[in-house]
Amino acid sequence: MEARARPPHLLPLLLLLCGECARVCGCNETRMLERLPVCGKAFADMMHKVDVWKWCNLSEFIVYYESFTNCTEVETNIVGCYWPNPLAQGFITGIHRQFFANCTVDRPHWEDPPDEVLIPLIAVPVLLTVAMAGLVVWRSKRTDQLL
Amino acid sequence: MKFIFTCRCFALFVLLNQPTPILPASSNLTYQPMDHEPFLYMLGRKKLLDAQYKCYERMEQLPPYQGEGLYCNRTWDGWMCWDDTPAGAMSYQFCPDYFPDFDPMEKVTKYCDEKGVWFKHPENNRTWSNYTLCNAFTPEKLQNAYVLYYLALVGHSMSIFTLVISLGIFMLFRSLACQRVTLHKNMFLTYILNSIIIIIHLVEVVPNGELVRRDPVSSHDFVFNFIFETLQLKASALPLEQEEGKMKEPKDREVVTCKILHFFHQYMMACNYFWMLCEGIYLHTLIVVAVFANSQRMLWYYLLGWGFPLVPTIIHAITRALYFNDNCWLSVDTHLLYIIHGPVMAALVVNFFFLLNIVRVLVTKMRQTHEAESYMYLKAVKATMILVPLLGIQFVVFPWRPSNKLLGKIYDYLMHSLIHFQGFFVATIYCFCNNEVQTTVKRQWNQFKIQWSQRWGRRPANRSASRAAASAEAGDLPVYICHQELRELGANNHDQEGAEIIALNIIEQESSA
Repeated sequence: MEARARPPHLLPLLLLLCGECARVCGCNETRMLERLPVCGKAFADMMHKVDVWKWCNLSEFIVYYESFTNCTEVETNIVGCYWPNPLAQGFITGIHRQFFANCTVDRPHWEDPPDEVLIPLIAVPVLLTVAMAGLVVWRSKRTDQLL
Repeated sequence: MKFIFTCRCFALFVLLNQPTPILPASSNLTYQPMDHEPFLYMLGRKKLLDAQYKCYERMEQLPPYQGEGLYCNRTWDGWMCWDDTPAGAMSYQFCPDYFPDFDPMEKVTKYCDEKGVWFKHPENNRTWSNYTLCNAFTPEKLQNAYVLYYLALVGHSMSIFTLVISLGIFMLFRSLACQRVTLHKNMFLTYILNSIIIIIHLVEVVPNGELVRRDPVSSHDFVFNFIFETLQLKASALPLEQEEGKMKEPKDREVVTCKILHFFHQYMMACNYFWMLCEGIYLHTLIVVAVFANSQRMLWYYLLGWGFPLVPTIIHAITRALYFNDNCWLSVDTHLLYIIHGPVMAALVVNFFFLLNIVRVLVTKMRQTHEAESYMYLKAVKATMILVPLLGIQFVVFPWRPSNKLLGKIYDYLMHSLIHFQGFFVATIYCFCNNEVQTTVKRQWNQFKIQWSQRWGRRPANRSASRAAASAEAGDLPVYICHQELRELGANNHDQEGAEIIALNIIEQESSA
């Protein structure tokens, strides 16, 4: 919960300082790699509150994921680096491997039925429409003949 | 058939909502959301996190780069996911919809230079994707969206107004009553109900300050789609629950209500077109098949107009719930929509062929017999002949929206006018422009004036004069499709006297009434 522990009003100041530092000091990648695992640990602590079978469903823990993302951003900025950057990306990839390695690729949530089902589903109402129109014409004709 | 409806619809709501500050392209995201932050921000944030999560999963699970030579590595640039790209190539994607002023129809570009490194912005030497086009044109599109929104409101209001008046006229004046008018009344009713649904949602849902997702919308449904999308977002709009780690799910009741409304709207749209078909069939039976007027059984028409549209609508609802049960059934990316649009288009085509047949028969008869009767029938059919293309043209022309900006704009305004004023056209052509209706109303007005002047003690001499004038007026105009006398007369008289005898009969009718 490191990210949340930091009071919000200090943050702009920190970021400003980082900005200044970046111009002067440049991006300190070593320090970044030292600081990022802190975020990872915080995330791990939060994830252990969530049941393991829910780990592949983002909506179950989206707040923690956001917290983690923000944490990596902040840590990156503190050391004067831009976010995202390849090293941070590598770190996040590592976290993903740790928690979400067994998740299947998220297929599009909703899919059309296969063609064998879809085409009859469309064709039948169309044919019914034409048939119905013909039926009404026929019934009207019959009324005439009855008279 | 997708009507390319650019982000005017969701850009519209920037004005109606508190605008979200525009974030610079590929800059860092702002810090933690507070509890009281606007809904728009949170929704955009949720989408962004979702995209990030999926991106990292995707980057992990995609196979390594297969091509040869230098390439830029797959990356998450903070807003969107980019795959491995060969050196020297420009990668394109559609803009994300995280922010209200981003147009998902515009393109984002990211350049992979010859050395296999992603393009770095010269100013600060950091990796940069070009998101500038996403919100470059938003104010203009917003203005357009506003105009079209008010056009929709005005169109549907006028439609309801004129349709209610027409319905009143048809119901009030018993002398006009006949089978064809019954068909008109039913059709007017479907249009009124349709317009009511749309107006309620345009007025109530739209100003509630919700973001609307863009979707390429199908021809007739674009208005309703942006209406229902706001319902969807309303249903899913709830603050992050930071204790539990997940967002609250939308209440089931709201989601179901939304879907029921969608169902009802689809049903009304289908009814519109099927009642048009009923009109066409009725005329066809009357003229081509030569059944006596007023002697057909209306039951079958009611079945076709009100009952049959239930079939495709229910099939669509069931298959949608099974296969494509997205929130509020808003998505138009599915072919399941053709379950409803297919029969509607079939109805239009069948109707068109019926009318062509009618015209053919009438023209043939006219050539052969030179009967005044056929000419009068033709005039009566004229109304339907105008309306069917008018209603159907949107299905034909919609797929071809010109990409030129000015032409596209003209196209949009034209199509919107056609669609939203449909009820108005129907009422005007079938009621106000109908000679019979005009006569009846004028006569009634004259009688009213006479009674009014009588009450105030004017000379009664005017009475008979006015009455004769009214009758003479009535006699001039054809009452053909409705009254049976015509058919009998027409069958017996093959010369020019037919028309005069008909007129005389009518005058007798009116004087005895």
